[in-house]
Amino acid sequence: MPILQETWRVVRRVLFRTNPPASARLQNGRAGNGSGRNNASLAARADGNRLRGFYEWVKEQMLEAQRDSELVMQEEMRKDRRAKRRALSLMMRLLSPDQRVEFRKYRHFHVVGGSSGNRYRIRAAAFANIDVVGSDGKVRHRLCAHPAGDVPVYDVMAAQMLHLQDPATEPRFLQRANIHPALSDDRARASSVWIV
Amino acid sequence: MDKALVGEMNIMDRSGHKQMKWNTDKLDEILAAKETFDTLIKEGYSAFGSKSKTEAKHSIREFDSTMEEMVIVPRTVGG
Repeated sequence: MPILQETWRVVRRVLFRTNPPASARLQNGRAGNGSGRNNASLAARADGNRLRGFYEWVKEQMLEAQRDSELVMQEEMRKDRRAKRRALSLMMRLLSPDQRVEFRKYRHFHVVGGSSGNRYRIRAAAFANIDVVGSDGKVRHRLCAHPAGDVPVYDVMAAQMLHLQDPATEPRFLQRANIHPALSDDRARASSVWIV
Repeated sequence: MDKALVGEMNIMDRSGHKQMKWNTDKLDEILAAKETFDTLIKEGYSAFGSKSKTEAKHSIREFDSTMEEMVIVPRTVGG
């Protein structure tokens, strides 16, 4: 922590310079009350100036740290947006033309299970975003399984589609997925995310 | 004479995905791509590929340099 070390160094410098040793104070007292008072007021003014300087320095350091952290945050947000755009372009390439149209319109797309023939609806949401749709069109339950690591939401959706549409990987994916009760349509819409 | 193809591997990660390309005429590029593929599969990633970019992807276990596009997905975890 270089800033803390520097702060401590300045604090020490200010404290030790402003408090003269006890022997010096004693001599000043003996020299006479008038000159002692003058010396004391000069010392107090000097202390005040030093403290003000120290305060300005700390304020400057804090503002600089704040500016740095804002820049880091902005850079992180830029990276995040870039990642989402890249993931979205990959997902769009992997979708069939019909799925692409459906996704543009409703922010979800349907996939038919490669081995089970089940119908799945994959929504743009962070959690339990796969609806298992029954033959009557109603959602039976939701599934939650996603790629490990911090991948953008559109990569998650693309990975889920790839696993579900493939006869070899669908059963393994279903085994790993946690089952959640179905959401009402309004709640399902509210849980969607659409950030690019 | 056959035209050389360029295959590409999209590896999903937090940046969206990383892309690795190889020219089917260049053995060193194929070997580098294969090595990356094998390492990721050993780490638990799943691979999906197709002979052409427009085809639907299917799961693969072995690296095939003649594939035009592959997508490598981190292992699946339940949420």
